[in-house]
Amino acid sequence: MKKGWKIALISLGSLLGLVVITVVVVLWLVFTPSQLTKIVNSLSGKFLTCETYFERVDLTLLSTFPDAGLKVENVYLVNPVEGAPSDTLARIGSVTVGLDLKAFLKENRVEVHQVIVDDALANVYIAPDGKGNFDIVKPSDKNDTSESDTKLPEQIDLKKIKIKHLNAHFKDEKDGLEVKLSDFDLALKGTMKDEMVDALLNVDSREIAFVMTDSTGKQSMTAMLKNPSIRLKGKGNMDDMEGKLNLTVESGRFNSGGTEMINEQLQASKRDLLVACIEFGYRNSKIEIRNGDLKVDDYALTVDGKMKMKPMEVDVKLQTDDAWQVAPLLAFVPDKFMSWKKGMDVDGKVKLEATAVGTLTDSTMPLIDAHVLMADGRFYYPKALPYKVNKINGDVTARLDLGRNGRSRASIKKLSAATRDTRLSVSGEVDDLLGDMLVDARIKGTLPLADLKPMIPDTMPVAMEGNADVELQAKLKVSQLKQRAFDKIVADGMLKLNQLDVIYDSIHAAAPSLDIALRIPAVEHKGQMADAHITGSHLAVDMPGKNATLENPNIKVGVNNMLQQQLAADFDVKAGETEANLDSTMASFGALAIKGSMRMDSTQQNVLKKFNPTVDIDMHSAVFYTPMLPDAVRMSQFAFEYNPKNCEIKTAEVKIGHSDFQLYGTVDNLEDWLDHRAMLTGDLNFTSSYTDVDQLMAMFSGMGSDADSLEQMRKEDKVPDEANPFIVPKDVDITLHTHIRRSIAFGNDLNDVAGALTVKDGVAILDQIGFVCKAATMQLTAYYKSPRPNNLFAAIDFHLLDIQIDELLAMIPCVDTLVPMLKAFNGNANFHLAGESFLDARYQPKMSTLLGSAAISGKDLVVMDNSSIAQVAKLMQFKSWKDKDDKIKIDSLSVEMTCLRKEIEVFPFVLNVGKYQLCASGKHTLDNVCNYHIELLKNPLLAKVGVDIKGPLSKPKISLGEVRYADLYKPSKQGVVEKRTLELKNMIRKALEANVR
Amino acid sequence: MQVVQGMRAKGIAFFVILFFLLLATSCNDERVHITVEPYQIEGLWQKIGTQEFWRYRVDGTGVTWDESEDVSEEESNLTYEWTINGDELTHVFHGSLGNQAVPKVYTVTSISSSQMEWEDIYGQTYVLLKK
Repeated sequence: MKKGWKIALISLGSLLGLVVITVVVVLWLVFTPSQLTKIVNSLSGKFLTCETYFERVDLTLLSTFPDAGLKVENVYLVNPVEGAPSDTLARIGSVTVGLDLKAFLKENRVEVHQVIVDDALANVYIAPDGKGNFDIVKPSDKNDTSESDTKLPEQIDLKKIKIKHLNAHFKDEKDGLEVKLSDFDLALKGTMKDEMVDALLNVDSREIAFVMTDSTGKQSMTAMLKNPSIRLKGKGNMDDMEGKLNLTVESGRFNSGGTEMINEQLQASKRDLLVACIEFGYRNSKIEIRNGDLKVDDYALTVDGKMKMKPMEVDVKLQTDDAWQVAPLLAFVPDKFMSWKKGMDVDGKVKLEATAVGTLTDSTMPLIDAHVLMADGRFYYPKALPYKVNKINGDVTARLDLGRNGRSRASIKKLSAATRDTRLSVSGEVDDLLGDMLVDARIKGTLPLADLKPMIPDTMPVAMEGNADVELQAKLKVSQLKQRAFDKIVADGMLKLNQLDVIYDSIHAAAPSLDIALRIPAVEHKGQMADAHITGSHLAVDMPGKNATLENPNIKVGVNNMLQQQLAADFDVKAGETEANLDSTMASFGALAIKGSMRMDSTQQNVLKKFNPTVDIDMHSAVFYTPMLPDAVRMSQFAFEYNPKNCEIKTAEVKIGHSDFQLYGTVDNLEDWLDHRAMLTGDLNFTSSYTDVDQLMAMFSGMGSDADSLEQMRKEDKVPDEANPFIVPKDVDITLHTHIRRSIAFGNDLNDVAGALTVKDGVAILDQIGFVCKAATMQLTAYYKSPRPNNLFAAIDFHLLDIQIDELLAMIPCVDTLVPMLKAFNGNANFHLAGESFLDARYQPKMSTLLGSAAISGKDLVVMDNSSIAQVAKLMQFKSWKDKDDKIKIDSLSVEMTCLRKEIEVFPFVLNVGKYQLCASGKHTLDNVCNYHIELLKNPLLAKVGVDIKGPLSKPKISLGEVRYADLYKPSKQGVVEKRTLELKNMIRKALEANVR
Repeated sequence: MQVVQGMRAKGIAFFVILFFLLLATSCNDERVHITVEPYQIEGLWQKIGTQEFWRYRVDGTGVTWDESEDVSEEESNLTYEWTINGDELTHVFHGSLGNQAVPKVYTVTSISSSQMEWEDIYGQTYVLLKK
């Protein structure tokens, strides 16, 4: 471009020289216009290579006074060049040249003072090979190519140049530049001598447009300025110049790299697009700007710096003169740089200091360092924050790289804002400022938790009340906030919550104050999104039918990204005094520690399935109140580990009602059991100093059975309301290894109870439990099932060894029913009993199902005074069966009996009473109607006597009967009947004694 | 003296009674014994005038239940093994815990295709109807 302009200027100078020569000729030879015109036209061919035409040449003095002037009208220069937009190089309405008459007359020196061009048209073209259509001066005849030919005439001393109404088109295809001037006016006052210019230039134009194209022919930059006005005062030559520029552009366009830099809003402004007042220096192709004042629309800047064209390099410092209103200013920013603002309302007052340093190319933009002070700003971006943010005050420095791969960043010294009742201040760094902002900031402030609600997805069932004081160091991307990908952010800080009231799904938590130390990602709880350490004075949590209050809670929890997934957490909870309500069960703890994890599944109804907890719980001084028990369950210590598959009770020291016990062991399949997919299995050890079995049975009655179906069964079975039979838990297989020092069961005191209690799918089994009762050693195997409330089934295998008969009768009253005559004896006996029966809901045997057998054996028994026995003895004429102490003693007793339905059969047994030997057998019914037979086998008289006792036991009819058993115990005389009888007796006893350990 | 005479009189009376009793005993086993085959027993019987049922299976097992107490055949615990030897019908019941044997022996005094009578050693009779 420089060369092109130079050639143009040289050509212009040559033209002026021709004019000067013409003037001289005119002055010297011809003074008439026609003659002058003729001369000029003829001379032009000598100097110019192009076609020329000068319509009229005339002398003038008035218009150029005090200089003598030569005025040429309608000048045409035609120079066709291929590719040029027009063959006409120039068409000038008039050109007036003013010569210094004094210098001419006195010094015979032609000195041009004035050039006035009016109504000109120029088409300047430079072909791709660099040849221009303005190269119209004939070369010198001499083969001298010295610079003197191209230099401006030394005689030219311009003091005034004026161009009016110039329309010019300059096209440089070599360097890719095209400039159009429309209605261009130029007024230059000054001197131009030896290429030195000291001039004042005024330029006005209706429009100036230029286009720069790159090597591919693509437009890289275009500009169009409407009504630009330039007041330029310069001094120097083309390479070194100082000056001052006042520039005004009414409106225009500027497109760089396809981006319209002056958008429609700015174009539509009624203010001048640009007003500049600049002191400048131009040196070595660089423009230095000093004390520049720039005003774009209504926004004024001071500018200092340097600029260079081709490629454009800038090193500029900008400063706002006053605070700028952001919103209207941002409206002027090209859309390309404002994509981030889509849907965003932002405003405020901004003061700016900025520097722009760098090269403007297709891919690079100057780096902009800016210091922004913002006051009274506002921000509203519903996609990120549903509230309007007000009172934004900030002190921010930023480095903007608007290049293709540029990355801009900002440093926030302080940025404060408020929204509703929220007050926040931020300091920190923002990277990738114009892209996906990466914020590394410290946030302080207070906010009402309700303000967070709109930021939480509608699908997340959470509501919050309360206030939070926040102090948080966070590193996050804006896209992460938009996507609620909080698991990707890094944060460390403290939240102090006041009057907290949170509902998440069905969980409600409230606390007067809580401190939460937050860390993202979690460090302590690996794999979780965040660590939170929660401390406070009081925390209340409740769910439907359940609630808990914790004093001095100390909770460490690791949680996942609840906004994207259902809640999952690891936790470590420690609390002092704690109270909880679970449905209608209340619990309190002196101290509570819970460590574990949970994963919520809100589709589930059961609390365990819903939260899937894996926990290690340690409770101290726990008290449970449940409607199932009249008294509280107290646990001095209760420690267990629970997971969906298994529950290990490490220790449980329990007091329930009258019972106390320690429990440890495992319970498996709890979760599958709740889904009815597997049986609840367990193997527990139960040690107790005292156990009220009856009370515990009542407590566990019906566990595992659906309450509705149980009630339905009760209705169908017509169970009386007052009856509450023990329903053995179903779907459970639990074995309780017991060791109970003292217990009460069915009203009996039992000591040293040891053995296994197994509950398996509706059946309870006591497996060979040994115990001591009333000084007797006992062993009990029992079987109990409850298929229907009104059709229970019980079977027992009971062995009492060396027990007082009266104690036996007291302990098991039904024995008296089975063996009514037993109460006539006193002494120790061994007792074996096996029996079974269905029971109704009141535990009354269904007699039609009663099956039993018993064996009693004893030695050295004493017969108690009994009127019936006395009557029998009297009838048998017993004379000496009493000892000296007046007691009837029996050496040995061995009785076998059976029971089928209401009928009890006593197999023949022998009694040795003193000198007498008796044999008795018979049967009686449970309604106490007897049919017994007693025989006197030995007596001093050797007589064999039989007595029948029949009728009601209370008043039997005693009579002599036949002799049946004379040969029963005489093997040599035993017949079939005797042998069969003894076999049956032996069968009964052997079967009964088989299980005695 | 009167007391001694009274006692003597009673002693005489006792021995007189005893004599007749012994006499009666020597004559009490004059019952005609029948021979009953198992097939005659097999089947379902109902104790007359009750809801008590007895089922005798071919394999020598059986079950009894009483529907008057809301117990069905399937629920019943009273299962037994039965044998017939001449006229002696023996049932041995086994308890659920396996350590219980309850023998019940009856004498079949008459049997037909529709009715059966038992008698225990105490003289109590039972009448069952074939179902």
